Amino acid sequence: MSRLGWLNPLQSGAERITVPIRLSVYRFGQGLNNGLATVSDLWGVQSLRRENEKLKAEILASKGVALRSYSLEEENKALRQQLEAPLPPQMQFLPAKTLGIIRYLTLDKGSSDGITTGQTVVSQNVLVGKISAARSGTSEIILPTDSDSKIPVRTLRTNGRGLLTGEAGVGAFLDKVLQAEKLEINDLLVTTGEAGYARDLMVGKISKVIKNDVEPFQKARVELLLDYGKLENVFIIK
Amino acid sequence: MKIAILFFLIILFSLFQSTFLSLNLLLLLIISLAVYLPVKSGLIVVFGMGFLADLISGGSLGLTSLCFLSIVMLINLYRSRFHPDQLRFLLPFTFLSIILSHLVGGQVIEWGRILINTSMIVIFLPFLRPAREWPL
Repeated sequence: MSRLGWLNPLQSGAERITVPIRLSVYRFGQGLNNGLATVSDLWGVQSLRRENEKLKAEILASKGVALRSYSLEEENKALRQQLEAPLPPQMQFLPAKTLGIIRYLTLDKGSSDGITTGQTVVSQNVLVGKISAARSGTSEIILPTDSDSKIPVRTLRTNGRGLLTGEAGVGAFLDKVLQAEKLEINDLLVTTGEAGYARDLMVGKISKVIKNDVEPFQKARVELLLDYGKLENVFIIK
Repeated sequence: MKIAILFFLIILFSLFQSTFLSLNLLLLLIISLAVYLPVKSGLIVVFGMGFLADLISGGSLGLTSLCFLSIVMLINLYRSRFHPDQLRFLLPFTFLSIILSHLVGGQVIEWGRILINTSMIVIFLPFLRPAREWPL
Protein backbone atom coordinates (compact mmCIF):
# COMPACT_ATOMS: atom_id res chain seq x y z
CA MET A 1 0.00 0.00 0.00
CA SER A 2 2.90 2.29 0.81
CA ARG A 3 4.48 1.63 -2.60
CA LEU A 4 1.18 2.39 -4.36
CA GLY A 5 1.02 5.72 -2.59
CA TRP A 6 -2.25 5.02 -0.78
CA LEU A 7 -0.72 5.97 2.54
CA ASN A 8 1.00 9.16 1.29
CA PRO A 9 -1.50 11.57 2.94
CA LEU A 10 -0.95 9.86 6.28
CA GLN A 11 2.81 9.88 5.80
CA SER A 12 2.86 13.57 4.75
CA GLY A 13 0.79 14.53 7.75
CA ALA A 14 3.07 12.61 10.07
CA GLU A 15 6.15 14.22 8.49
CA ARG A 16 4.80 17.71 9.10
CA ILE A 17 4.66 16.92 12.81
CA THR A 18 7.75 14.76 13.20
CA VAL A 19 10.31 16.66 11.05
CA PRO A 20 10.79 19.59 13.51
CA ILE A 21 11.00 17.11 16.40
CA ARG A 22 13.52 14.92 14.58
CA LEU A 23 15.59 18.03 13.77
CA SER A 24 15.80 18.94 17.47
CA VAL A 25 16.57 15.36 18.51
CA TYR A 26 19.31 15.05 15.87
CA ARG A 27 20.93 18.36 16.94
CA PHE A 28 20.84 17.05 20.51
CA GLY A 29 22.53 13.85 19.32
CA GLN A 30 25.18 15.80 17.42
CA GLY A 31 25.80 17.95 20.50
CA LEU A 32 26.19 14.78 22.56
CA ASN A 33 28.72 13.36 20.11
CA ASN A 34 30.65 16.65 20.06
CA GLY A 35 30.60 16.73 23.85
CA LEU A 36 31.96 13.19 24.04
CA ALA A 37 34.64 14.12 21.52
CA THR A 38 35.57 17.14 23.69
CA VAL A 39 35.81 14.93 26.77
CA SER A 40 38.11 12.52 25.00
CA ASP A 41 40.06 15.57 23.74
CA LEU A 42 40.72 16.45 27.37
CA TRP A 43 42.28 13.04 27.76
CA GLY A 44 44.46 13.78 24.71
CA VAL A 45 43.04 10.81 22.80
CA GLN A 46 41.63 12.83 19.88
CA SER A 47 44.54 15.21 19.24
CA LEU A 48 45.23 13.32 16.02
CA ARG A 49 41.64 13.96 14.91
CA ARG A 50 42.05 17.69 15.53
CA GLU A 51 45.25 17.71 13.50
CA ASN A 52 43.47 15.82 10.77
CA GLU A 53 40.62 18.35 10.73
CA LYS A 54 43.19 21.17 10.55
CA LEU A 55 44.93 19.55 7.58
CA LYS A 56 41.62 19.04 5.80
CA ALA A 57 40.80 22.72 6.33
CA GLU A 58 44.18 23.77 4.93
CA ILE A 59 43.66 21.66 1.81
CA LEU A 60 40.22 23.13 1.15
CA ALA A 61 41.38 26.66 1.97
CA SER A 62 44.10 26.35 -0.65
CA LYS A 63 41.38 25.60 -3.24
CA GLY A 64 39.38 28.67 -2.23
CA VAL A 65 37.02 26.89 0.19
CA ALA A 66 37.16 26.73 3.97
CA LEU A 67 35.75 23.65 5.69
CA ARG A 68 33.68 24.80 8.63
CA SER A 69 31.15 23.37 10.91
CA TYR A 70 28.03 25.43 11.14
CA SER A 71 25.76 26.25 14.03
CA LEU A 72 22.09 27.06 13.54
CA GLU A 73 22.94 30.78 13.91
CA GLU A 74 25.42 30.49 11.01
CA GLU A 75 22.88 29.25 8.46
CA ASN A 76 23.01 32.59 6.64
CA LYS A 77 26.78 32.35 6.54
CA ALA A 78 26.42 28.87 5.00
CA LEU A 79 24.15 30.31 2.32
CA ARG A 80 26.59 33.13 1.54
CA GLN A 81 29.50 30.72 1.31
CA GLN A 82 27.56 28.37 -0.95
CA LEU A 83 26.92 31.29 -3.30
CA GLU A 84 30.64 32.17 -3.24
CA ALA A 85 31.78 28.58 -3.82
CA PRO A 86 33.63 28.09 -7.14
CA LEU A 87 30.79 26.32 -8.92
CA PRO A 88 29.16 27.15 -12.29
CA PRO A 89 26.96 30.25 -11.86
CA GLN A 90 24.01 28.62 -13.60
CA MET A 91 23.66 26.04 -10.80
CA GLN A 92 20.70 26.57 -8.52
CA PHE A 93 20.72 25.35 -4.95
CA LEU A 94 18.06 24.43 -2.46
CA PRO A 95 19.20 24.59 1.19
CA ALA A 96 18.24 21.72 3.45
CA LYS A 97 18.85 20.71 7.05
CA THR A 98 20.00 17.27 8.11
CA LEU A 99 17.57 15.25 10.21
CA GLY A 100 19.54 12.13 10.99
CA ILE A 101 22.07 9.62 9.81
CA ILE A 102 21.75 5.88 10.17
CA ARG A 103 22.61 4.30 6.85
CA TYR A 104 21.43 7.25 4.75
CA LEU A 105 21.57 10.96 5.60
CA THR A 106 18.03 12.29 5.95
CA LEU A 107 17.08 15.84 4.92
CA ASP A 108 14.09 18.01 5.78
CA LYS A 109 13.17 18.63 2.14
CA GLY A 110 11.22 16.23 -0.08
CA SER A 111 9.18 15.88 -3.25
CA SER A 112 6.85 18.69 -2.19
CA ASP A 113 9.89 21.01 -2.38
CA GLY A 114 10.81 19.79 -5.87
CA ILE A 115 13.34 17.17 -4.78
CA THR A 116 13.70 14.12 -7.03
CA THR A 117 15.89 11.03 -6.82
CA GLY A 118 19.29 11.41 -8.45
CA GLN A 119 19.89 15.05 -7.52
CA THR A 120 23.38 15.86 -6.24
CA VAL A 121 23.84 17.24 -2.74
CA VAL A 122 26.81 19.41 -1.81
CA SER A 123 28.33 21.39 1.03
CA GLN A 124 30.09 24.34 -0.68
CA ASN A 125 31.93 22.53 -3.48
CA VAL A 126 32.35 19.23 -1.67
CA LEU A 127 30.13 16.31 -2.62
CA VAL A 128 27.84 15.04 0.13
CA GLY A 129 26.00 12.44 -1.95
CA LYS A 130 23.00 11.82 -4.18
CA ILE A 131 19.29 11.75 -3.37
CA SER A 132 18.30 8.07 -3.22
CA ALA A 133 14.72 8.44 -2.01
CA ALA A 134 12.36 11.42 -1.85
CA ARG A 135 9.18 11.34 0.23
CA SER A 136 6.75 14.19 0.56
CA GLY A 137 8.59 16.16 3.27
CA THR A 138 11.92 14.36 3.66
CA SER A 139 14.54 12.74 1.47
CA GLU A 140 17.52 10.44 1.90
CA ILE A 141 21.03 10.79 0.56
CA ILE A 142 23.25 7.87 -0.34
CA LEU A 143 26.69 8.78 0.96
CA PRO A 144 30.04 8.01 -0.71
CA THR A 145 30.74 5.57 2.16
CA ASP A 146 27.71 3.42 1.31
CA SER A 147 28.47 -0.01 -0.19
CA ASP A 148 26.06 0.73 -3.04
CA SER A 149 27.74 4.02 -3.88
CA LYS A 150 29.98 4.11 -6.95
CA ILE A 151 31.12 7.57 -8.01
CA PRO A 152 33.25 8.19 -11.14
CA VAL A 153 36.11 10.47 -10.06
CA ARG A 154 39.42 11.77 -11.37
CA THR A 155 42.56 13.03 -9.72
CA LEU A 156 42.95 16.79 -9.90
CA ARG A 157 46.69 16.54 -10.51
CA THR A 158 46.94 13.99 -13.35
CA ASN A 159 43.31 13.51 -14.47
CA GLY A 160 43.61 9.78 -13.74
CA ARG A 161 40.14 8.21 -13.66
CA GLY A 162 38.69 5.72 -11.26
CA LEU A 163 35.60 4.65 -9.36
CA LEU A 164 35.10 5.76 -5.77
CA THR A 165 33.43 2.84 -4.00
CA GLY A 166 31.90 2.97 -0.56
CA GLU A 167 32.98 0.56 2.14
CA ALA A 168 30.18 -0.58 4.46
CA GLY A 169 29.46 2.92 5.71
CA VAL A 170 32.87 3.48 7.29
CA GLY A 171 35.06 4.65 4.42
CA ALA A 172 35.73 4.58 0.70
CA PHE A 173 38.38 3.40 -1.69
CA LEU A 174 39.32 4.25 -5.25
CA ASP A 175 39.07 1.33 -7.63
CA LYS A 176 39.40 0.61 -11.36
CA VAL A 177 42.39 2.89 -11.84
CA LEU A 178 44.65 1.86 -14.71
CA GLN A 179 48.13 0.68 -13.70
CA ALA A 180 49.65 3.34 -15.97
CA GLU A 181 48.17 6.15 -13.84
CA LYS A 182 50.49 7.73 -11.28
CA LEU A 183 48.65 7.96 -7.97
CA GLU A 184 50.24 9.78 -5.05
CA ILE A 185 49.27 10.26 -1.45
CA ASN A 186 47.28 13.50 -0.93
CA ASP A 187 46.06 13.58 -4.55
CA LEU A 188 42.68 15.33 -4.53
CA LEU A 189 39.74 13.54 -6.13
CA VAL A 190 36.90 15.32 -7.92
CA THR A 191 33.77 14.07 -9.69
CA THR A 192 33.92 13.63 -13.45
CA GLY A 193 30.27 14.54 -14.03
CA GLU A 194 29.22 10.99 -14.94
CA ALA A 195 26.61 8.73 -13.29
CA GLY A 196 24.36 11.69 -12.55
CA TYR A 197 26.78 13.56 -10.29
CA ALA A 198 27.58 17.22 -10.98
CA ARG A 199 31.05 17.83 -12.32
CA ASP A 200 34.21 18.95 -10.46
CA LEU A 201 32.94 18.47 -6.93
CA MET A 202 35.65 17.60 -4.43
CA VAL A 203 35.24 14.27 -2.71
CA GLY A 204 38.41 13.24 -0.90
CA LYS A 205 42.13 12.68 -1.06
CA ILE A 206 44.24 9.58 -1.45
CA SER A 207 45.69 8.33 1.84
CA LYS A 208 47.29 5.07 0.65
CA VAL A 209 48.04 3.59 -2.78
CA ILE A 210 47.47 -0.16 -3.17
CA LYS A 211 49.30 -1.37 -6.25
CA ASN A 212 49.69 -4.97 -7.37
CA ASP A 213 51.43 -5.38 -10.72
CA VAL A 214 49.68 -8.67 -11.54
CA GLU A 215 46.23 -7.05 -11.42
CA PRO A 216 44.87 -4.94 -14.28
CA PHE A 217 43.84 -2.09 -11.99
CA GLN A 218 45.32 -0.39 -8.95
CA LYS A 219 43.42 0.81 -5.91
CA ALA A 220 43.80 3.49 -3.27
CA ARG A 221 42.37 4.17 0.14
CA VAL A 222 40.56 7.50 0.21
CA GLU A 223 40.12 9.93 3.06
CA LEU A 224 36.86 11.79 2.60
CA LEU A 225 36.74 15.53 3.15
CA LEU A 226 33.54 15.67 5.16
CA ASP A 227 32.36 14.20 8.44
CA TYR A 228 28.78 13.48 7.37
CA GLY A 229 27.58 13.08 10.94
CA LYS A 230 28.50 16.71 11.70
CA LEU A 231 26.73 18.29 8.74
CA GLU A 232 23.84 20.57 9.67
CA ASN A 233 23.17 22.45 6.43
CA VAL A 234 23.59 21.09 2.92
CA PHE A 235 22.52 22.23 -0.56
CA ILE A 236 20.71 20.26 -3.21
CA ILE A 237 21.60 21.12 -6.81
CA LYS A 238 18.32 21.62 -8.64
CA MET B 1 -0.65 4.82 32.82
CA LYS B 2 1.38 1.78 31.77
CA ILE B 3 0.06 2.06 28.20
CA ALA B 4 1.01 5.76 28.19
CA ILE B 5 4.55 4.91 29.28
CA LEU B 6 4.76 2.27 26.57
CA PHE B 7 3.47 4.78 24.00
CA PHE B 8 6.03 7.34 25.19
CA LEU B 9 8.87 4.80 24.96
CA ILE B 10 7.90 3.86 21.39
CA ILE B 11 7.95 7.51 20.32
CA LEU B 12 11.23 8.21 22.12
CA PHE B 13 13.03 5.15 20.75
CA SER B 14 11.71 5.78 17.21
CA LEU B 15 12.97 9.37 17.32
CA PHE B 16 16.40 8.37 18.62
CA GLN B 17 16.76 5.47 16.18
CA SER B 18 15.77 7.54 13.15
CA THR B 19 18.25 10.34 13.97
CA PHE B 20 21.46 9.35 15.71
CA LEU B 21 21.16 6.13 17.73
CA SER B 22 22.26 2.97 15.95
CA LEU B 23 21.13 0.63 18.77
CA ASN B 24 17.77 -1.04 18.13
CA LEU B 25 15.96 -0.35 21.40
CA LEU B 26 12.53 -0.75 19.80
CA LEU B 27 13.32 -4.32 18.87
CA LEU B 28 14.34 -5.10 22.45
CA LEU B 29 11.08 -3.57 23.65
CA ILE B 30 9.10 -5.69 21.20
CA ILE B 31 10.85 -8.92 22.16
CA SER B 32 10.38 -8.23 25.86
CA LEU B 33 6.68 -7.49 25.35
CA ALA B 34 6.17 -10.54 23.16
CA VAL B 35 7.61 -12.74 25.88
CA TYR B 36 4.99 -11.65 28.42
CA LEU B 37 1.89 -10.61 26.46
CA PRO B 38 -0.78 -13.14 25.33
CA VAL B 39 -0.40 -14.25 21.72
CA LYS B 40 -3.33 -12.43 20.09
CA SER B 41 -3.00 -9.09 21.87
CA GLY B 42 0.77 -9.29 21.50
CA LEU B 43 0.49 -9.44 17.70
CA ILE B 44 -1.91 -6.49 17.58
CA VAL B 45 0.23 -4.37 19.91
CA VAL B 46 3.40 -5.17 17.99
CA PHE B 47 1.81 -4.34 14.64
CA GLY B 48 0.63 -0.99 15.99
CA MET B 49 4.04 -0.26 17.47
CA GLY B 50 5.76 -0.99 14.17
CA PHE B 51 3.34 1.22 12.26
CA LEU B 52 3.83 4.08 14.71
CA ALA B 53 7.61 3.67 14.50
CA ASP B 54 7.44 3.91 10.68
CA LEU B 55 5.27 7.04 10.89
CA ILE B 56 7.71 8.75 13.22
CA SER B 57 10.91 7.67 11.47
CA GLY B 58 9.57 8.34 7.96
CA GLY B 59 10.34 4.84 6.72
CA SER B 60 8.18 2.70 4.43
CA LEU B 61 4.90 2.27 6.27
CA GLY B 62 4.39 -1.30 7.33
CA LEU B 63 7.95 -2.56 6.89
CA THR B 64 8.80 -2.35 10.58
CA SER B 65 5.41 -3.86 11.48
CA LEU B 66 6.12 -6.80 9.19
CA CYS B 67 9.56 -7.30 10.68
CA PHE B 68 8.25 -7.13 14.25
CA LEU B 69 5.32 -9.43 13.51
CA SER B 70 7.69 -12.05 12.08
CA ILE B 71 9.86 -11.93 15.19
CA VAL B 72 6.90 -12.15 17.56
CA MET B 73 5.39 -15.05 15.64
CA LEU B 74 8.69 -16.90 15.94
CA ILE B 75 8.70 -16.32 19.70
CA ASN B 76 5.14 -17.64 19.92
CA LEU B 77 6.06 -20.64 17.80
CA TYR B 78 8.78 -21.68 20.23
CA ARG B 79 6.78 -20.84 23.35
CA SER B 80 5.73 -24.47 23.75
CA ARG B 81 9.32 -25.73 23.59
CA PHE B 82 11.16 -23.05 25.54
CA HIS B 83 10.38 -20.66 28.30
CA PRO B 84 10.82 -17.53 26.19
CA ASP B 85 11.93 -15.42 29.15
CA GLN B 86 14.93 -17.68 29.79
CA LEU B 87 18.16 -16.11 28.70
CA ARG B 88 19.52 -19.28 27.08
CA PHE B 89 16.74 -18.94 24.50
CA LEU B 90 16.31 -15.19 24.54
CA LEU B 91 19.91 -14.07 24.07
CA PRO B 92 20.62 -16.00 20.85
CA PHE B 93 17.14 -15.15 19.58
CA THR B 94 17.69 -11.44 20.22
CA PHE B 95 21.10 -11.65 18.59
CA LEU B 96 19.64 -13.20 15.42
CA SER B 97 16.70 -10.75 15.41
CA ILE B 98 19.05 -7.78 15.54
CA ILE B 99 21.12 -9.17 12.66
CA LEU B 100 17.90 -9.73 10.69
CA SER B 101 16.76 -6.14 11.33
CA HIS B 102 20.15 -4.86 10.18
CA LEU B 103 19.92 -6.89 6.96
CA VAL B 104 16.34 -5.74 6.28
CA GLY B 105 17.26 -2.12 7.00
CA GLY B 106 20.47 -2.32 4.95
CA GLN B 107 22.57 -1.28 7.92
CA VAL B 108 26.23 -2.11 8.40
CA ILE B 109 26.79 -5.14 10.65
CA GLU B 110 29.18 -4.14 13.43
CA TRP B 111 29.57 -7.14 15.68
CA GLY B 112 30.62 -5.20 18.77
CA ARG B 113 27.57 -2.96 18.59
CA ILE B 114 25.28 -5.92 17.94
CA LEU B 115 26.61 -7.73 21.01
CA ILE B 116 26.05 -4.64 23.16
CA ASN B 117 22.56 -4.27 21.71
CA THR B 118 21.80 -7.94 22.42
CA SER B 119 22.98 -7.81 26.01
CA MET B 120 20.64 -4.85 26.69
CA ILE B 121 17.65 -7.23 26.61
CA VAL B 122 18.65 -8.15 30.16
CA ILE B 123 17.73 -4.59 31.22
CA PHE B 124 14.35 -4.58 29.49
CA LEU B 125 13.02 -7.92 30.75
CA PRO B 126 12.55 -7.14 34.46
CA PHE B 127 10.71 -3.89 33.65
CA LEU B 128 8.28 -5.60 31.33
CA ARG B 129 7.54 -8.68 33.45
CA PRO B 130 4.38 -6.96 34.80
CA ALA B 131 3.06 -6.85 31.21
CA ARG B 132 1.52 -10.25 32.00
CA GLU B 133 -1.18 -8.40 33.95
CA TRP B 134 -1.72 -5.52 31.56
CA PRO B 135 -5.26 -5.08 30.18
CA LEU B 136 -4.35 -5.64 26.52
